Amino acid sequence: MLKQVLETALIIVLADSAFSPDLPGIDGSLPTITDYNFSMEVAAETDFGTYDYDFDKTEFTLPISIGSGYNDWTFTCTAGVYAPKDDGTYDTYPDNGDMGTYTFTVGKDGNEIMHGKTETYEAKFTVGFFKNKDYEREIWEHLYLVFFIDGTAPSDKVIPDDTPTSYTFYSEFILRGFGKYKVKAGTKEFYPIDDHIVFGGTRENGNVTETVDFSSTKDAICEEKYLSINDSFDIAYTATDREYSASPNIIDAWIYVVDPNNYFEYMHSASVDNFAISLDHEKKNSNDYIDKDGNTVQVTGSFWVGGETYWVDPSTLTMSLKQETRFYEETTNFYFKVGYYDLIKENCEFYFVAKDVGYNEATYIIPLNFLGDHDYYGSCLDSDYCMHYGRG
Amino acid sequence: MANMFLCIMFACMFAQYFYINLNVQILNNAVENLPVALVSSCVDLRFDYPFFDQTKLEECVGEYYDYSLKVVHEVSYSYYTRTGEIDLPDENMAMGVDITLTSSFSTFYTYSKTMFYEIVEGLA
Repeated sequence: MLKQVLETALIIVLADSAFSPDLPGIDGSLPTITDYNFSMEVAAETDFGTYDYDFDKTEFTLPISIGSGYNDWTFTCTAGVYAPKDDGTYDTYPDNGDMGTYTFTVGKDGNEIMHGKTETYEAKFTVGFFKNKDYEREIWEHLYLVFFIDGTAPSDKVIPDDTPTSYTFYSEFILRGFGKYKVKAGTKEFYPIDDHIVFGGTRENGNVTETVDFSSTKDAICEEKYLSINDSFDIAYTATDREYSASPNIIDAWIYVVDPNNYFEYMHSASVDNFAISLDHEKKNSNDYIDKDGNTVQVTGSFWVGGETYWVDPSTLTMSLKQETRFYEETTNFYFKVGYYDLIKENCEFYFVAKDVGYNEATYIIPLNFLGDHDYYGSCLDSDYCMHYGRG
Repeated sequence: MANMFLCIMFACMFAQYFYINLNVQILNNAVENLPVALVSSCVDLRFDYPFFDQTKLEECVGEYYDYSLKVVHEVSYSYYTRTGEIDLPDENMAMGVDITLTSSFSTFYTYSKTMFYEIVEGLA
């Protein structure tokens, strides 16, 4: 029976292996952690899949469910970070080589797992690597967090020859968006990420609780020469302090684009005075948001991206949220600069960064997706219009 | 005496020829190498059809020639939109322009050359 189960597991493993990338030191025939249960009337199950890295998260947990067939086995779990290189090989990161070791013995101290039951162990690892190092951007894009599990059978048990004692899992580990690297725009350099940047969440500051949900990816529409983003994002304030004003404090906003080669491009800058948490229009003064009865007041507004008045230089399509020079014209769209088509013709990530939002003056990133279809004006090959010239 | 006069005259003619030839080369170089990106930067893209921002185009091209040429010159612009093409809502919206550079840097020769720039439909 045991042998049959093992054979079945091996077939599953080999079937899955076709989709597995080759990692150094890892048997390519092993499946991804997402798809794999290793079983011996027993299961070591994981729910690992693709991670979206949260900058506040430094600890990862590998849940391992073990069944009665592994009673008295000792397992040692370790982990490492691997990053693919251009030549198809992988770099390992010694800085994060010591993510800790987790060892456990199944059914220790007489708590053997009953037949048909499983026990779950949680191997925790600390990923300090991402917090402390300013690595180049390219390695942030696509990493693998690899878990190694080595099992040692008790010496007094006879283990079938084909019983594996070593298991390796890896999880595709994608880091979204921003790292601590510079973004250059002309002579300016930006560090778009600070520790306080969040994709949303709840923040407390004194008597004010501010809840923002920007976490879901929004769809933007690329209409040849401009990008339309008409969506709102709810912001809820809960205030008990009479001095609290719910007026928006947004003072700056940027847009970044990540092109298919993982190259950050600064697109537009804006200094804004009135952009744009749209609060209840009936309440125009900050006093309207004061809790007059001492009870909690909840104010829900919308942070609008799009539908506002922007300014565009029609010749260069540089954008601003306020009129800056004589060339700037009023518009309601985010235009692309001439020559930007190469950047947007494949699926890009697009981030709207709003800084100093709300009472807590937090910085938020609003992720958007869009696909550029073709250019409005540019090269004759892939544009609606282009320039033809010659001797008259 | 007559021979000396003829020699001086031929010398003057050769000098004038080289002066004209040199300036024509400089002018040709400036006209034919007018950066198309400079002209492209003067295209107004806000509307359904792109067209030349005439004020900006004349300012940019004028600055380019002023910077490139030491000799006296004059630039003229002739805007057009080909008949049967796009019906632009305003007659000031032109999708084509002939830019002509004229220079009378010599009493014997007036240089004039025209380049056309047209916004045409691409293949997309």
